[in-house]
Amino acid sequence: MDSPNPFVIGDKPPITLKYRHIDTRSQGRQAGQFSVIGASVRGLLHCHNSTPRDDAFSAQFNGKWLVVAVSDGAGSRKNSRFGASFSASRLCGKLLKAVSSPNLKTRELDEIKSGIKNGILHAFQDTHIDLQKFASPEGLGFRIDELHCTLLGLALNVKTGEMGVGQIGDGLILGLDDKREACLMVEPPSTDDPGASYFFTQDDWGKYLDTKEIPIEQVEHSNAFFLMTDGVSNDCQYGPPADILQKWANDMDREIRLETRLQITAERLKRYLVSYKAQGSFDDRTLVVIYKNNKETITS
Amino acid sequence: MSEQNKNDDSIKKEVTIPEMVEMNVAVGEGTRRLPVYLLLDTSGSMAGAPIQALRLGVEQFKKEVDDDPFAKESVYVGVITFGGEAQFVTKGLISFDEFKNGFQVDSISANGQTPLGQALWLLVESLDKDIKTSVKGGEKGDWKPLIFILSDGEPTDEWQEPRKVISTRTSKKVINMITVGCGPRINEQKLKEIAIGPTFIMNNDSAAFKKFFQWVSQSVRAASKAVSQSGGSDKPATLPPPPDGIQYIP
Repeated sequence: MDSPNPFVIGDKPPITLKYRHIDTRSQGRQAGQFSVIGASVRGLLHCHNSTPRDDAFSAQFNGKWLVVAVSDGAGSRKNSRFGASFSASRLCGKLLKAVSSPNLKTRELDEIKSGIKNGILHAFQDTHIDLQKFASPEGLGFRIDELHCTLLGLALNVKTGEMGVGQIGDGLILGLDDKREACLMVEPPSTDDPGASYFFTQDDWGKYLDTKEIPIEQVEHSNAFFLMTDGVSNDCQYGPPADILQKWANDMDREIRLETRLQITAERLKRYLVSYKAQGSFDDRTLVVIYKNNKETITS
Repeated sequence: MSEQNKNDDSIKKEVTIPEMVEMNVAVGEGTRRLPVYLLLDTSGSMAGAPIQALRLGVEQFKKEVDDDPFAKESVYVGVITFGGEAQFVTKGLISFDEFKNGFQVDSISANGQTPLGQALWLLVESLDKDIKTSVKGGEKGDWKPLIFILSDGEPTDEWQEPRKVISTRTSKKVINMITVGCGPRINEQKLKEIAIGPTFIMNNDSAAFKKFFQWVSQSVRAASKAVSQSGGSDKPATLPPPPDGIQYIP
């Protein structure tokens, strides 16, 4: 079913210091032949300490391009939710602008042959510039390291299958193909130490950003894509069992297709994220799933 | 309700959604552990009231960590004593449950000299062998260990080399090592030379040991929460301030 209706879902960018980051969020929408569901929930530790959720997600669709971002604010920074929600929301806006531009290949990085990869890179760069303004005394007056957050983004042309991804810091962007194989779409540098992460907000963030164009054939042979913060990825990529990532991706793909109404699927996803148990897993959990439609998918 | 909340579908529709089937999705069964090492001086000078106070302190540590649902799920404990000979009395890192139920504090007894160097070598061996690093598609890695050293006297063996090995590690780095000297025989200058992280002194009476283990418990509880959030272990753990009677040595 084709649904060209544009939409914006997810966490909104903060405008003032009174910004309230709600504890849980779940939404679902149709983007052409793809469905999008996202949910973000406050972790057990934040609930215990009465502190806010630090994760954020955002998704936008302009009738042709679907863009999605997730971000994880550092638990060690009390204002990181501002960084996460601003970055996720702004990256989506910048991605849409970048990939929709007819001059995608003509900016200063012409040596990068891939237009979409170039667009993803510029979207991250432009988002970082805006984040610095947002943090400055003329903005909300934060030091930028108070806003430490990771950032993962995806842009997909739902008509042509053109796709690109970018990631800095922890979390995963995962694809599940039509042979039921799960694979990482991008592998940015990671620290050796569990719990430590590279952040979009650090001075040398560009060294740790990885961007990638996904071949159209790969998109055509994919059933679903998953973007998640480390509150989820830590529970689905480490065993035992050794094949946990495959099991997780296939289980999730099966579950999201059990129900055709997207809002209910999003609510189920939220309830799952709130309730599943994994030892030592206390962090916020955020997951956005983009999947090719079942024929009978409806939007309400 | 704010405009933002009104826009959230989940809030708008939560009350109207009919019964729904729970998702059944596999999750990894691995554990990301917070290793806690206690290096305890059990030399002859600790005999009598000090060793008894130390035993009570370890019991207290068990109870206080057990009261914290976050800490007891992730803490793994390794106890190394150094009196006469150094011994890894827990035979490596053991789960908190195993430590709580299986480790007998009466097994700690005082005798002999103060072989801190041997104890540090046992620590090095355990850091190499027991601490896990993350492997994608494999196991979860451990959080950075918390290490507490408690001694009432000067080492009687060669400790400089293992100290150097610990302080210059490039993988499985040690960034949270707290050294505490207790009692009148402590040489503050030597204690500073031994220490890799912050250094403290305290008395060796039962009240001081009680406060010390309360502080260890609080530190472990705080660390278990800090590390389980993004960016939580990018620098040394922020410890709660030591109680009165445990004095920081600048």
